[in-house]
Amino acid sequence: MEFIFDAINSRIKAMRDYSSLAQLKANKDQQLQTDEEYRRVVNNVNAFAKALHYAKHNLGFDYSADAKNAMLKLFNDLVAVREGGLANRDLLRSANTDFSHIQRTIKKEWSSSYKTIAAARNTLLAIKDLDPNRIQTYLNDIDAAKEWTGSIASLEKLKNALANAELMIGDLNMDQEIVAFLTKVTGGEARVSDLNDNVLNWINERDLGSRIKVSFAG
Amino acid sequence: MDSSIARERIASVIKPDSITASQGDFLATHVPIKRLELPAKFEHSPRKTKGHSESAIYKKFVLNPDDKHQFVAVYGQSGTGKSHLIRWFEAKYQNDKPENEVVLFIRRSDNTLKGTIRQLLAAPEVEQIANRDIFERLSKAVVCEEESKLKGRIYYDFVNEVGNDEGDQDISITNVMRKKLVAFLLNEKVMEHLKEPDGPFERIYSKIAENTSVDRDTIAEFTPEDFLVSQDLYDQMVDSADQKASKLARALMADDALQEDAAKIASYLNQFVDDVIQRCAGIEPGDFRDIFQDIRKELFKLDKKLTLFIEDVTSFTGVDNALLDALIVEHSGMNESENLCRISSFVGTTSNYLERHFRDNHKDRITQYVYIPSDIFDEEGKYEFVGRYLNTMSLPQENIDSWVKNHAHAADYPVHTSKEGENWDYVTIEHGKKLCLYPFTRQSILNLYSLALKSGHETPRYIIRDIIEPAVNNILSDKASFPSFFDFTPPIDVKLDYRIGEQVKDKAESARLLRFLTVWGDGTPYQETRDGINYLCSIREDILQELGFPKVSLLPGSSTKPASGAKAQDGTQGTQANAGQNAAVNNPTAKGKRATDDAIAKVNKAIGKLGEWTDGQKIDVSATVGTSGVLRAAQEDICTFVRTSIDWQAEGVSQDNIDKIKASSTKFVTFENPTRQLAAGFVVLPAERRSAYLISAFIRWREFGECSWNYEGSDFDAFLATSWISATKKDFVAAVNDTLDRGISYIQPAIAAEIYYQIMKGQYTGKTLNGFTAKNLFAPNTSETKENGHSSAWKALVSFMEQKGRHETNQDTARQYFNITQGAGGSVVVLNEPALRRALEAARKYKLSLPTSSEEAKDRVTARNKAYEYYEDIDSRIDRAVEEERHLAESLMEKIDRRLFGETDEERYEIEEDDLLDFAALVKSLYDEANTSQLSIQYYNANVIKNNAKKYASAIEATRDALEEEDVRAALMAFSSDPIASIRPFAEALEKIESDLNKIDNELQRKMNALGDIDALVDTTSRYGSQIVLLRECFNLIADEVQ
Repeated sequence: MEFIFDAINSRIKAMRDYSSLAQLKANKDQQLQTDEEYRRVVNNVNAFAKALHYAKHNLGFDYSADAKNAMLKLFNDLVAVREGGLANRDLLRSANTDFSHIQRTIKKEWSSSYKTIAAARNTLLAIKDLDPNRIQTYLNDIDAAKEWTGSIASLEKLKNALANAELMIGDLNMDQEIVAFLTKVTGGEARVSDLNDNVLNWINERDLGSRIKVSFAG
Repeated sequence: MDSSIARERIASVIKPDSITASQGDFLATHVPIKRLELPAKFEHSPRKTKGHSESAIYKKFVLNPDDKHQFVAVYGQSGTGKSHLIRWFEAKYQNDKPENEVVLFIRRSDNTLKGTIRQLLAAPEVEQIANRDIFERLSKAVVCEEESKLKGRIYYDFVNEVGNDEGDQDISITNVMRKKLVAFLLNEKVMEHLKEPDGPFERIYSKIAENTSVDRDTIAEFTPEDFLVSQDLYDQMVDSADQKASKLARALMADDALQEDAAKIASYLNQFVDDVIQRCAGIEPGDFRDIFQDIRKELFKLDKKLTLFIEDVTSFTGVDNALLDALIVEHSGMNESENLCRISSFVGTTSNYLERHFRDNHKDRITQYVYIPSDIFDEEGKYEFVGRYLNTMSLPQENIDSWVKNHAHAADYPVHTSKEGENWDYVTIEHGKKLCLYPFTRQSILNLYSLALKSGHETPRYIIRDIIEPAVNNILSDKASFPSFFDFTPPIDVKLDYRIGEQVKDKAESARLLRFLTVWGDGTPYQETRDGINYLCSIREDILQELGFPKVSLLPGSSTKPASGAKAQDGTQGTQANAGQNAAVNNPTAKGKRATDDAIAKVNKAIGKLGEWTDGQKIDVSATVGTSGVLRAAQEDICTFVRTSIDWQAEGVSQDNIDKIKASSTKFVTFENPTRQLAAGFVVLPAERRSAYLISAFIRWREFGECSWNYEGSDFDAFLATSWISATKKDFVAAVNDTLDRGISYIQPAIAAEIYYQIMKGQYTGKTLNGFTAKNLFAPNTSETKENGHSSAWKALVSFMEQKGRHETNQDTARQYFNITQGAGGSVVVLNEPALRRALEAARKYKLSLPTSSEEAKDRVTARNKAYEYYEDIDSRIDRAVEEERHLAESLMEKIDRRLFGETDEERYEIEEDDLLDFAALVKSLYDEANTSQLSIQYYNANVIKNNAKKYASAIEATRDALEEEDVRAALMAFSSDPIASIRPFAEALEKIESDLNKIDNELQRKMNALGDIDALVDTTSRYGSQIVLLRECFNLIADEVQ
């Protein structure tokens, strides 16, 4: 019975399209507003997609498959919004709602992935005193991307800050034991007992003894 | 009887008219008449008194002791013996008359005017008359004239009289009518008609000329019947007739005018009869008056007186009034100066002639009327009359002459010596003389008198002509066939008939014996022995042996009637005529009422016809009246008897079958060899004696018992009927078998037709016949005539089935055939369920079809045949009804399928309820949207589809199944539930939806056009071009991401 169903459906759609056109004609401003909204939403989605794409490829952000599918559906729905010839406000609102939902999802997933993505931040904090101005700059850029904004600029700063931090840390030739020590120092938790040979050698080699303070435990 | 003498003498002795017999034979055969009446004035049939003997009248009037003028009219019906009496008076008077009395005797001779004139001329008294002119004229009148010439003269003389009538007759007609009558009489065909042997001119001619064949008592006159114009006569004459003749002929054809006009013409013409006869005879009207005046004058001169005997006054036809004028003139008183002698006249005439042709002045002058009643003889008189004739013909002429010569004294009356019939009946006459009645018995004389003589013929003339002469001739010429001289059928005692029939196989001999025992004997079925002599039907057995009858044995017993056939011991042994009484036999055990004479006569007549039937003649049962009606009623009564006597149900015959036979023209019983060949009955009674017994029994049952067995002798009839039905019951049971004509019982087509009906009406909607049970057969009919979805051929066939109550009739047949009435009253009826079940099984087994051989014949019982015809009418239309139903279903399904499935290859056969529910929802959306879009589309309530989804789905499935049925009857049953009625509204809904879709298209197109330039609004490429690109980019960015 697909035949008759198709036949009827096509008429229903045609009637609806007609209704839209008729309504469009009757309320042109409203349509223009819808058009504008449509463009805005599409642009936002596009920017969002690009950011996601950037984050995935440049920051290693592995968002979920559900999120991907929801994105693809959204794209389709946005295509469908104007399939009657003019953007349908209702469909658009529906698509926009879906988009908001996707954004919230991605935010959560970004937030979950951020520590991993921004793992160098703690090291920077540990060695902050080594070059406070510079490292603070890096930290600012990294911290600015802590919340997902969908801004590629923010992501690029993050990417650059992380890259520079990597270079800096690489130059300090620190192993994990050194990083752990420095981290404790930064947290005020370092003990004299932590000063083993490897740590003392690394401090002495760089003449950092005067810049590291070990206090009494409370 | 002495046959050797009788053979010679019979011709001369047996002369019906006394005047032609010899004087000796006349006296020897004369039987004194004892019942003469002497009315004071003319009466056609005077009241009976104790009567007067001929001797008393002779003494008082013929001997005329007071010597006065007399004019005595002797009258009576034809053949009663007027001539005989007058002749006896004359003969006796010749011996007793005074010396101065002249006796003139005008015999009837051949009863013509010429014969009479010839007699007169021969009389010495006439030869001596003074008036020679009259004598000459009379002499010329007797000259023979050629018959045709004389007849022509008579005819044209009448025409001439009419043509020249100046209206001075007593009866006149208008001039116009007179001219028409002349033209009519002159028409050649009318002339031929009126001159025919039984026509008026032959009658008139017969009174003038001699040697004609017309009855001597015929009156020369016209009768109304002579002028009745038949269609044949009119057709013959119309070509040659002039207008006047045609007009009169037409008037004489009209029924209402018939009697009046014809009677008037007859009366009018009768006025001319005397004149015409006189003119044609060449005599003057006054001649006869004058001649008798002259005779009387001559005798007066001689001091003599005249006694005139005229045997029959009609001998003077044409001049009779003139003659009477002469006879009424008295010799004394005012006529004394005429010098006429005293005249004493004895004139014989029939009652009719005296009444109509004697003028009133003549009747007034008749001094004495002597009336001879028709039945002049009492019982003994009849025996004596016959005995005297038989005796006379057995005596040599010389013996008679010698007796006459010696004054014919009764004491000397010669009696012959019997050479035949010594043991037969005798009659004792005067002086103890015994005359043998051979070949008659006393009983036979009475019976023959009652049966052989027609009404009005109970007179001596006919006793001689119709009884004595033929009987004697019969016994003399062919004793072996005696009695075969009469053609009436005597009343037959059925027991006697039956017994003879059982013992004498020769049909002719059996009939002869029955005839003899019935007419000569007492006709009862009994025999007895008295004084060592065996009597059968009261007839001595040796008489039967003498006549060569086969020996038979009858029932022991006797008639209550005195025996006949026994030699008379005392000469007075009498019998009662058993004519008409034989049926009421004297069976000591017989009970019941006695039949009336009318009923007996009616029955006898019918039984006579049965006799003719068994002799090979056809039997007439076509009328409802007369003898044919009696026989027809008997046939019906036998049919009813058969129908009601056999316990058909006990014999396995359906009462419905019997009822149908009762209502049909095919009878249970018909008679073989009918005059009109109707449909033969189930049993045809052969034209043989046994059948006649049976039929006669039923005739008596109706006529004597008035449709009961309550009449004398009914016990035997009842025995005949019951023994017959007992013997033939199996024949009837076999004959009414309703499978004989068509090879199958009519119940089969009746049931098949009923099943057809129920299927077509949708009362039975099973897919196979297996579900059709007795319950279905007796289910009440649906009274509705609701609209259905069937094809017109289907509806037409249903209507056809119901036409003229045919279905009701057939249904009654199907339902009642298996009824079994309980008890004699018949109020409780049960169903012969096993038989019904078998019939239903047969219908199922043969799928409502009948063997083609059943169409080759016709059931003789119309009502049964109607069951076959009803079935055949239906069966021959079933194919067409199914075919049209298929076409209709196909057409609807095609529409449904095409609309639901399009022209695709999609599987079309699965439409389920859910599909239709979805469809209904979609349709609702469609119309809602159309409504929303404000299209001019009539809203369709899709709830109809929703609510009927199950029904539609089911009907579509049923229709598909029906269309897949290749067998017509299977398809018929598949369509019985009328799925079309259900799919039609669905198809119509689809049609509307389809139509509305098109309307939507058109409407949208129209509306879109009305929107004007909407390209800009809908140009998505330019309007949303960048968004399209962006979205495409989105797809590109995200779609290929690996997660």
